[in-house]
Amino acid sequence: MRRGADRLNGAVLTLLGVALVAVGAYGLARGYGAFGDARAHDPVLTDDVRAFVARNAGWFWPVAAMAAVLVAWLGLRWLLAQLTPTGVARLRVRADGPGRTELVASGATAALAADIEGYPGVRGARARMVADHPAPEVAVTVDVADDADVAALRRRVEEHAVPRFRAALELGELRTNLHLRLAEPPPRRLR
Amino acid sequence: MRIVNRVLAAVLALALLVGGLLVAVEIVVAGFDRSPWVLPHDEWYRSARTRAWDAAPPRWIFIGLVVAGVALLLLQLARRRPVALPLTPAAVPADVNRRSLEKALVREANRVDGVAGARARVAAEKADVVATTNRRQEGDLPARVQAALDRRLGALGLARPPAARVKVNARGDR
Repeated sequence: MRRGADRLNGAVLTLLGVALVAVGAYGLARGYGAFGDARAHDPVLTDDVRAFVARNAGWFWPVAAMAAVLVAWLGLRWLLAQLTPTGVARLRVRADGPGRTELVASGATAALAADIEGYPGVRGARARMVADHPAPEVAVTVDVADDADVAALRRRVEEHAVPRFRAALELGELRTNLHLRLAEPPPRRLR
Repeated sequence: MRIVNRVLAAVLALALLVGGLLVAVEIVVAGFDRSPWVLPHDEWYRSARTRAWDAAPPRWIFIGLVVAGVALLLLQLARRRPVALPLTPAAVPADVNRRSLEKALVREANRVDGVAGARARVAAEKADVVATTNRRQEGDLPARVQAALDRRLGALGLARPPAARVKVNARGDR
């Protein structure tokens, strides 16, 4: 989710950069006479443009106002994309009868994290659901000690923690992303 | 860089939201033949009618636009170091946080006998580690640090392990 917002930011900022350079370069080129001295001496708001707006005032200003509102709405969407927290708060649980059962996602993911924290070499773990039905996805961040066997840890997460979590939530499919952080081993106590 | 982008995006998004609403309101206000509410568009209009493309104020505005646009593009095109380095593909995709890897490499280098301090910088393809020693002669220290780092990187199971490049600064070098 956060990566999606980052990609959106990159794309919009790149487009904005291109637009600013294009407008600025056109203005400078015109001002320095690239399109002829006469056009360089023209006022920025030419008579042609004024005449066009005056001729079409009936639809021009309503369309301009709507375009401005559209820009504001796009700005609002973009702003919300920055502020919206990522993750799923509640998970829908399969139910045979009428009604709907939901599970607090943080409770389920805490159990997954606790499972992983019990593995050798793990100093801490946390998990969060980043997407729900129809393509549920969980992101797991694990702090791993320097002396841990990373390959063995991955196998245990794949073969033990994730299947248990999937079974508990009765999920057919579950996309899992494992993020490892290498941490210092705990200090050894002297007796 | 991503943080800079997020801050920029939030500021620009807010500017678009406020600017768009203000323009819409000003158009409606002008439709009732009222004077401008917030934006002095009547002054802008007069200025745009009287100032030519080759006048100084428009020119400075265009220079400002080009500078801002180029700065934005440079920011987007700048090559960023990855946040995480992927591990070999498996049923559960996994990666290692780059900053934590840098710290782990520093710890690994510090464990080598003779190393007094170290710093590391990891990118997608290389891991530069600069170690310092209090010894006058490097001796075989660079080779031992290199071996320790290669071992550490190899044990992680990275999909494309960055090549460790070691530089040792001996006391005599300072």
